[in-house]
Amino acid sequence: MEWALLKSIYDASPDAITYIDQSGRIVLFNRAAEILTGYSTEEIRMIPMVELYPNADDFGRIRKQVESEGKCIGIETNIQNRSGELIPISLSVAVVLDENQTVIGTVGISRDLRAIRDLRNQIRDLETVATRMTLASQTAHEINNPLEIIKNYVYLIESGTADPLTLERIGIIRRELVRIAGIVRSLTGMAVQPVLPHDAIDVRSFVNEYRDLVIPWLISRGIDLIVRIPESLSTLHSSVEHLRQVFLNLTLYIIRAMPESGVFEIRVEVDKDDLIFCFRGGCEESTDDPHPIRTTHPAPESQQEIDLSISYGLVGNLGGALTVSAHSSGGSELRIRVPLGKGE
Amino acid sequence: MTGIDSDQPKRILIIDDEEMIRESLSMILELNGYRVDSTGEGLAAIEMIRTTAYSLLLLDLNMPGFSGIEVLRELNRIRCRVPIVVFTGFGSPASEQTCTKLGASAFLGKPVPIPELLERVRKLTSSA
Repeated sequence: MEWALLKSIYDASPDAITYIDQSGRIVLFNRAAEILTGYSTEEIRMIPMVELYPNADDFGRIRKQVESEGKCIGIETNIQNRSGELIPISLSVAVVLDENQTVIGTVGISRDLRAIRDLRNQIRDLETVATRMTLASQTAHEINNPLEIIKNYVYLIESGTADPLTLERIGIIRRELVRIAGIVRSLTGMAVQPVLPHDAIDVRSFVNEYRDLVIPWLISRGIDLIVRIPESLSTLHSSVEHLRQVFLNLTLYIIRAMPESGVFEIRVEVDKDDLIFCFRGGCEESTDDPHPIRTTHPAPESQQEIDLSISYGLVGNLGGALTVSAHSSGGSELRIRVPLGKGE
Repeated sequence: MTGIDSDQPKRILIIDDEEMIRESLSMILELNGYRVDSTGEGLAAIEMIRTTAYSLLLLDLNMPGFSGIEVLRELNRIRCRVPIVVFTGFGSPASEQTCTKLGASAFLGKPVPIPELLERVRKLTSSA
């Protein structure tokens, strides 16, 4: 029964499972491992394991850790598949002992992180575009304010003079101001968000999908995820794509604040006509203050500020607000408040 | 038509973090017969609105600290019925939608043409 259960898990696992004996021979190599590496079980037996690792140091480091500690969990490294593609994986390895507690081999479980890597790249691209848009808007905003001041003083000068030459010169200034205002409008147009769709979002399904997406990533970093959702929830009418981007961005923000391990909690609350997603994360040693959210003036400086700056804009486009605070137990607390909205 | 439609000049509060905008707009509105107060901070504005009877608020959207949106939310919460003209250098359809939903009477992009601004102010203060 026990063996049948293990065999089912071994065969059905989406993660690559390998078992190597003490002589270095690959004994077990499941279907997922064949798909991941591009080698069949027969072929992989002809290849030394170290050759799968383009960085031999990584292989040595993992082996050393397994020899000294008996296991390693969630190590991020790369392997090279049959066609030469570098595949990011999260690797966990443990020694296998016989009844005399003698090491007889090692079992390894590798999770393909390509989807996560692609997601990271996608977020980075989105961040780049969004940051450029944000900077263009900030620039435009900064120009609009002095334009407003110049235009007001031109009006005041005009009101106090009847001199034809002065009035003619004021006319020139006014005309040029209109030109500058047109250029600024083009700049702000780069940052104007389209009116967003109002998708009917089942909040529980949305959060669960998000959890399934990020959990391998969090586990590989030793971060525990706790999700708290109230029993009854109204449907949220908002842009599901926008909300997903905010969730991923803020997850990055939280993870950057938790370099070692810790607990990341997502809580959903309803407050009258609003829905609140509360992200809280931190580790015991964390003493970092949350970065203030910048709205207009200076450009964001660090990656964390960029994450927040973009999220602030995205949440604003959803008609909501994002607030950041330091939590008394350490770490940061981010609260996304979005209107529940109505279906169209 | 000026701000002196009755015995008392209409009183307007300008909320903008740019000092020169507050100063120049105050002069323009005063030239047109209005009595004007101004502040560069959202929280201070809320306090002024609680204690003074204004006929109109001119509100900038992007201010550090307590933003224009937060001022609108707070005014909504305390059921303030004073007409509000939002003027911003950073407008978008979404922010206009949010401001309108929160009770703004008008949404203008900076730089606002003075005749248009004065006309809006006149209409809104005469119906106040």
